[in-house]
Amino acid sequence: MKKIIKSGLTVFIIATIGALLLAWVYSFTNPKIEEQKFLSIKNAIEEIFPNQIGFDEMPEFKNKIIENNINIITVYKVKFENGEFGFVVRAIYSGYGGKVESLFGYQDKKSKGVYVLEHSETPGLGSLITSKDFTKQFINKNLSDPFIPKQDVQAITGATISSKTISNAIKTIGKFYLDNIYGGKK
Amino acid sequence: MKKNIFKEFTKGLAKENPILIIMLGLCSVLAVSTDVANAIGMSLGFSFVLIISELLVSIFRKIIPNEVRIPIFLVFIAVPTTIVDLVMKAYFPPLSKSMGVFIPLIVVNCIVLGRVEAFAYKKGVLETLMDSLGMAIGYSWVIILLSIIREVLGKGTFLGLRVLPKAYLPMSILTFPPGGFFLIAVFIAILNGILNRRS
Amino acid sequence: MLSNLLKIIIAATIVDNMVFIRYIALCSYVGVTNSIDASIGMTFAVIFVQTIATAITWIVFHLFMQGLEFLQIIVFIFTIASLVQLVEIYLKKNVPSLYKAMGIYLPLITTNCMILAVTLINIDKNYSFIESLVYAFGASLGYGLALLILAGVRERLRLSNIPKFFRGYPIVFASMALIAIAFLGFKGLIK
Repeated sequence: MKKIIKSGLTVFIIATIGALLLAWVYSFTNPKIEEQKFLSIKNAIEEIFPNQIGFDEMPEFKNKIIENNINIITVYKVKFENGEFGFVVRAIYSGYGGKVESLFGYQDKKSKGVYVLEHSETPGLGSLITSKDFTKQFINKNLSDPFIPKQDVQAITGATISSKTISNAIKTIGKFYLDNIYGGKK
Repeated sequence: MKKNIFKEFTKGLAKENPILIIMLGLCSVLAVSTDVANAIGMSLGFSFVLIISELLVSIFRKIIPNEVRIPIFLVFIAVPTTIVDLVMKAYFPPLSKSMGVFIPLIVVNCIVLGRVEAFAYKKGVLETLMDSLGMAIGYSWVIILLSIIREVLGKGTFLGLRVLPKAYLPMSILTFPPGGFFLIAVFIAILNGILNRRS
Repeated sequence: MLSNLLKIIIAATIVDNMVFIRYIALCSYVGVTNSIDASIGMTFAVIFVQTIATAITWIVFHLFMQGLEFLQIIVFIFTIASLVQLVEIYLKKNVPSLYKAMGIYLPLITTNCMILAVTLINIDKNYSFIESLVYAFGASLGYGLALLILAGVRERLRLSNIPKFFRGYPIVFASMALIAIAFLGFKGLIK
């Protein structure tokens, strides 16, 4: 009996010391982790709107599932120096290999570009949706365009479905943006 | 005496290489060796956990009760692993993201638990240090060499920079699971061949 | 709802197969595929422990660990280790037939990285309780499938004439490469 108590106590003490040590490490890594999360969003928004001077989350659009099973995580309202606004929608859609999390930029009746945060598309083919060569065609594209690969969108060779799902997401979210965000403001 | 300690160090490099001979801890090796950067990050994280936990166990081996040694080993392994996880998240977020679940999985990496149980729990601190260093380097060279082959031939890049001309069509199968399995097979065959010839 | 669960189970079993696509649980995998019987025993043990471990870790994480996320690894591995121990004791006492079938594989399971990996992935993907269970079940089913396929291949390999340096493990990995190519073909199955 005494032996059991002694062993149990040893485990307990060591586990407590371990937990305290981790709490201490966590106390100084956590602010850094939060900062990194914010920075990665900020960099992505800057990539879409280089002339931004600040952005705010719009709480009314948090966690909404819209057409085509696209999940809008949140919407950022981006301010520019000249007093105008742009909008960045952070959303998850289904790509070829799984979920794709991206930022979609919109201003007036135009798509302003897309920035892929996370994806599991085929490396070397579908993963090219992150390349500038592919995404630059969505900058300043009218939302009334059809957004169909091989018509008005240049598809990635060997990754038609990846190209199609992302174009489709831009169009669908664009429609949501026109109806709810853009229309609601003017 | 001195020669013995040196032997503890060198055995991990080839003769008792944790990956190619003992065949443990393969999951992380195959999963993160698609990029050289990932492989270096994983090697550092793994080496840190292995060395710290082996040393801790060796230092405290006299006061660890035999019946509850496994839970105590798990604490000694899980704490450094969590530290690696948190530090990677805080200071190298892209690296942490691409390695994903494989950092926490160092806890159940069979090499760590295996070395702790079979070596550190029985041997002195100096020998344990040598053993852990050797095993860490033995793990690292395999994973980094594997990643160089997979990244250069599979993507045409090295550490993200293009090294092969654009005209080179990457053998992207190497970055997929089949390529990884096949390369490991070839590695083991070559090492077996060399060791066989020597003896 | 139901179609969503079906998607998760197919993804976990085939498309994202733990062994061939995600490279998880390779150590134990190479070890037990020596024989088909061992593979079957291991599969049942994994399905059993994986599902229970997922249920417990999910509840522990969502009920008690708000703000203590940094203890996730240590708490989960402890939960799994003690669960395996308890299951072993319970089966030995009460269900000896089951213990006979999968008992010797239970101690191996603590270090089967799949158990911990699946519980962590469930938290990471923010799955609900039911989704987590379905994912865990699917993943272990996929693991079992992978075990049986390779065990079958290895039984045939024993009779074949293999180049000298490829004998033993190298040929096993080469066969795994070929099976993995087949699994790669399922990519894109789930939309």
